[in-house]
Amino acid sequence: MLVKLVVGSLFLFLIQMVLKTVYYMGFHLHYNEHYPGKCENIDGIGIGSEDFYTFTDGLTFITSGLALQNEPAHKQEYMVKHNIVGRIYLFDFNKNKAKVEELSIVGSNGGFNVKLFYPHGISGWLDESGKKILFVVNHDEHGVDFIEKFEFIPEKKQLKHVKRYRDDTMLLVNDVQATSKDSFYFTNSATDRIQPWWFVMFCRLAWNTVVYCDGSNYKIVLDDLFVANGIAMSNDGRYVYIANIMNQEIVVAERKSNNDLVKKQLFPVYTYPDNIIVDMKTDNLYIGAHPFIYKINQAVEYPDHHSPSQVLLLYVKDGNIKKTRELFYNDGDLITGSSVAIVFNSKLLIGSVLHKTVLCDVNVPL
Amino acid sequence: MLMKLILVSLLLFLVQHIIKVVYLLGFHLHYYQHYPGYCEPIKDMGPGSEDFHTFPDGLTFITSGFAIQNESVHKREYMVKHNMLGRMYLFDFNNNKAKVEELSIVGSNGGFNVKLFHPHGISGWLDKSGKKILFVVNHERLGLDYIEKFEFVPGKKQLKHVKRYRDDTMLLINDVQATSDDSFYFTNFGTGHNPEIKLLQSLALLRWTVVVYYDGSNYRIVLDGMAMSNGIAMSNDGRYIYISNHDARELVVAKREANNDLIIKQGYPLYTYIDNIIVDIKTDHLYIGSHPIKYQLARHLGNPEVYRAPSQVLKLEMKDGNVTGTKELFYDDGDLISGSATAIVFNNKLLIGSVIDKTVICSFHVPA
Repeated sequence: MLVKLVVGSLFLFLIQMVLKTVYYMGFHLHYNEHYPGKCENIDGIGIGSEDFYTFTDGLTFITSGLALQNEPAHKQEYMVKHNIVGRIYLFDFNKNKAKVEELSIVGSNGGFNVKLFYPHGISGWLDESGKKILFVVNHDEHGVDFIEKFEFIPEKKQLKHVKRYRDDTMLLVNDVQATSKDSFYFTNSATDRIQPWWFVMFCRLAWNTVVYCDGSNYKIVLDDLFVANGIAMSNDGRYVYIANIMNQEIVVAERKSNNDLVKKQLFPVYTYPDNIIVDMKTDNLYIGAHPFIYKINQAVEYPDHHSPSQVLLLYVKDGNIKKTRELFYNDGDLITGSSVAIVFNSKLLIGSVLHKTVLCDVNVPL
Repeated sequence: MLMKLILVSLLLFLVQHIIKVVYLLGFHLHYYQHYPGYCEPIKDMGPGSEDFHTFPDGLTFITSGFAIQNESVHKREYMVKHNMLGRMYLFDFNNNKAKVEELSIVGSNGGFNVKLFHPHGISGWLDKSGKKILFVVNHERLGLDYIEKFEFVPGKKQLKHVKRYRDDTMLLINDVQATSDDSFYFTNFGTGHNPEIKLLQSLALLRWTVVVYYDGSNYRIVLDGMAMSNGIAMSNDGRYIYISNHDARELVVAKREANNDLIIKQGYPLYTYIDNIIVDIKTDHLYIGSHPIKYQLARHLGNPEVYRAPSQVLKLEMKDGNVTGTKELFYDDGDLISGSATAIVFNNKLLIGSVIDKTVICSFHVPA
């Protein structure tokens, strides 16, 4: 009798897990396309523009060619076929053109090898002399994740590698947010490279972390996140925003004087948010998002599959997200898997995980 | 044993039906707001702009003050509070202003009484002399449904009532589509005026509503089995009739036969509760006002003073009677406008009417 009860309960528990997972996949959801203005593809960029950072002068640094270590065979073939290597591109909002320039990357501090470079998240910082510093997440092809620091040399259109950061808290790093020229937060989107995404989703394992590096020491500042993805900081440095992607929410955290993070608001977005960019003037958030988790995961593994692209604008006041607007929605034929976006100079730039990069006019009020 | 089987089957059937209805009510849905430009409400209008017709010269005739014969207590209080009467407004796309003028309505053919007038769907026609003719669905207070024909007298900003149409096939009319100055299609969105019966039919997911054709002398049913036929419109060449099958969340495209019969060509799912359809005068594309979240619409219509309902405008690209693409032109959570029913883009402006709420005009700056 007791055994029947236990088995019956386990069975019911399993059923509700399956139902929950199917529900969150979103097979039953339908959305319509819309654009804020005329949109076009950006020429000359390799495959993918997973994250970018825009400085106040409009210069934007885009990471391209995302790959994790140990990609499956068909993905590796795809990468060879399309010459996907890790690259960083420069886009200038001031030139009114849908073009980018590839930056050359030099330097080899701490064993950095540009041939094994696969960039992911990126964050910029201006040092005291006004030099542009970039922190870039690197899934070094030979093994582990690093955070690489570069200096931008404008005359040579070059990124000079200056320092490499590594720690055991770097499990599967996704994004980084600089807090000075030698300190940063970063997010882990998994605890290892083995668990398949659908398993993580089914078991709803919320054990991912946000880590802070003060230049020498690393400490976990947030835990129990159900896949932490993008991370960004408010212009005044008081708040840190994290895309808790699998929980379909944005976490707003207050930053303590010792750089600890305390959760302040959990804002549900009913979609899967990727990277976050904070508007330099208004403090509002631009988010690249994936409305259907199974579609984006499929598109990442089989890049000829399409997944819709969605850009959200979140209005923020005093560290509270107040309301939302959807700036862009495409079924995936124009751009698949939008992961990052910004509106600058009335233009919307959208990057994708492994697909095209798009620039749109913004003719609507924000 | 057999009894047990029958009872369990009935129970399972009931359970799956309840789950289906709860799902269709849309409690689980979340959408985002977005606008094609700067939007503002039109001032000095009574509540509601359920349908409108725009002539090629930009003159737009809007029906306002929608009410059926048996309204809820809350709705009636709302109507008294906001002085909601059946009215007709004129909006001119050529004036660059968010304003309308109320038209005076004269005439009493066949017993028409403007004091009992509650307009709903509308369709326009230009007769041979270029005079603007309007067919308007009327839920006559304390009476039956009629289709009223008016002539527009521009000099007097007046609608002169010229003919009233009535037949037993007019059960609970929603919209009308003119095919000449004395013939039209119309849709029934229920089988009678009793709101409780209508609600039961909706919850039971029945498909009992009909589309009727009047050829100048006789009325006949041309389409049956519609879950809830709502808006109706005709392609510019007269070959296709578009009907919004509201409760089925689909657009029905029907081919028009030589004898005006309708043959369904396509049932296009839109996953939203579509209301009225307007065909773009130049491109033949469709503008559709719709209600994305059913339970919010129902709540709002029952108690508009308290509840808001989201508004959505879709544009469907058409080619030879087939839908080739969809775009969402507008989405609002209900604060700016609740329950959008009709829309058109004309002269780079988007005009949106609602069932019993405001009317909004937006500048239109996005690719259409």
